[in-house]
Amino acid sequence: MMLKTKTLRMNVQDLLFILVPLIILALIPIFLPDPYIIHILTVASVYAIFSASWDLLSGYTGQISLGHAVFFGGGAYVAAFLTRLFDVPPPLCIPIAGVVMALFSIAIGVPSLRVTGPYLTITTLAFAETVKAIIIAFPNITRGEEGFPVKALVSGMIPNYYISIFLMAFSVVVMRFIANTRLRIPLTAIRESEIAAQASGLNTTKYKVLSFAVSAFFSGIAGGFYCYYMLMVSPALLSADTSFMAFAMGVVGGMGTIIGPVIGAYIITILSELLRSVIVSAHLLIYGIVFVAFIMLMPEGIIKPLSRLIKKS
Amino acid sequence: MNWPLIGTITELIFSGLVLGAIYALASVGLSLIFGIMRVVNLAHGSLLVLGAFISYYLYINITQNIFISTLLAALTVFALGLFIERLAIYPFRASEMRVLMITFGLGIIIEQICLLLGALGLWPMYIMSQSYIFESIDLFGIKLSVQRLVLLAISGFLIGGLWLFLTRSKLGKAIRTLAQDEEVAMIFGIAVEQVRSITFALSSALAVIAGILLNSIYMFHASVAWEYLLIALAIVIVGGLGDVRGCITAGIVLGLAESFVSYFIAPSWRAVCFFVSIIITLMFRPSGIFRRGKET
Repeated sequence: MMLKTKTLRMNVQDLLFILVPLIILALIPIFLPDPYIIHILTVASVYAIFSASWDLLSGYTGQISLGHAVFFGGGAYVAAFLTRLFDVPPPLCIPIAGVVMALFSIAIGVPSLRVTGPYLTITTLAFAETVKAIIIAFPNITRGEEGFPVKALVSGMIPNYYISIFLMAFSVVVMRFIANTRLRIPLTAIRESEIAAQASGLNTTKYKVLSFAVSAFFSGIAGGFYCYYMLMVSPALLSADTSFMAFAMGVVGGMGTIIGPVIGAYIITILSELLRSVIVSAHLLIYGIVFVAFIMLMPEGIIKPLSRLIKKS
Repeated sequence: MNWPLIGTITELIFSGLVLGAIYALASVGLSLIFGIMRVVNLAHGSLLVLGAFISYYLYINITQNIFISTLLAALTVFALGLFIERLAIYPFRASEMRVLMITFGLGIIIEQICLLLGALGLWPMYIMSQSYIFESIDLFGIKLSVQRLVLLAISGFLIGGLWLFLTRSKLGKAIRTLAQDEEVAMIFGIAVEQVRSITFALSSALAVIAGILLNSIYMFHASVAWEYLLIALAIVIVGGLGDVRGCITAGIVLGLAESFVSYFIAPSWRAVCFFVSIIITLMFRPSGIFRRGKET
């Protein structure tokens, strides 16, 4: 009973957390129709989905994945190939990319999620690097390092912007729902002590693979949309740097909350755009420094002081 | 008799051995760090690449002697390693995952600094593979480049030196004791903190030397850091985390594997070869292929 009322109250808070910023985001093109700002916010929304999906796996289960770009970039390649080779309409490709990535994640999750802690981190990192290497290894199909152009989903900045906002809101609500109702207890149990969870009869591998699949699905969706928005795919989407972005956003925002990484995504994307004029060639340097500072000084992320502030007012 | 094929295979074995010895040198530090601190240092690849860049800079601009520049680069990164261990790893050693994340962040920062300094013109964005010795020996029709022989000798010598250091010297014995049991090490009066820092710095310096040796075979760009991190991790996992002997064997085996895969399939398949070895090891023998007995 206690648990029930608690989740209910959290849902109201969630709703506020999600609705207010959404309304602000939806109104931005009306009051600030600057293409540059719209572009930054679109990219930030895509990263918000990506980072939140990373959080569903890593923040909730404590299994830090450093190769999440494999699902993001993989989703982008699946969508791009579907439109280029089979002429499937883009709106259909985005969910297909998600489903393919989910299946893919099950295929690699079953062997790799049996290991935990640093081993899992290493495996995911290695896996992303390998898929990248395979893509580069077939230049006649994938055009190697350069990648290839993709046609647009819809033309115009504003429609793309609204689609990204919609996808972001949809993904976040669904992930938050899954993570806080069905999977909350098993995943938290796995994070706190996997051995204890196993000892009490929980099939930890099943839940880990499940959260891996959901996470990969949404990463795939984010990647699928991203390739239509950027009008191209390239192996850089699968690099350690891309995985690091999801990771950094999650840490800055606050792991294990889904909302935290979304906030982190907007903060970091905007911050790095502001600093892009200062440092062009090493924009990840800022991410790196912010990220390390957060882990050292504020490992719970920005969401904790933020939610305390909201509760007070 | 198919003479050309045998010649090719001999050459492949030779280049595989050279690569393997360098890889062993690159990954032995990672294994040592894990053995002592239970830390997987994800900045290892970036340190390796940074060292190669520093050495290149010194070689071009200050001294024209590759040995001196190597030594100076190794010392620089040794100091950097001490600094990183004190500042970023030691205070957070209680949480394994937190340290892992910090080292990953540091890896990104070092990689980006390399890129930034390249963009500022301190060193080029790419350093081509460096040739210092051009002669080659003809052995029954098989060409062996002298430079690679030197590489093999240097890495063999360093690995041997490290082995002697670990088994004979006082500090080396302290490192090994610490790897086995921290409490016992403390009881014996080993200055645990200092030994940790020195091990970290030493591993970084070894990675740098390996990086400079590798740079005389492959071209370097700041972002290859992750590829070499992957290679070193694969070797350390196959050899068993924390197991120095296993690591050397695994390095040589995987070096040979890379050499054959690059020749018979394609050079870009080497990452696949390393990943497959990681997965197979973790699935069947998580404590390392060569280790007998219980899991760690």
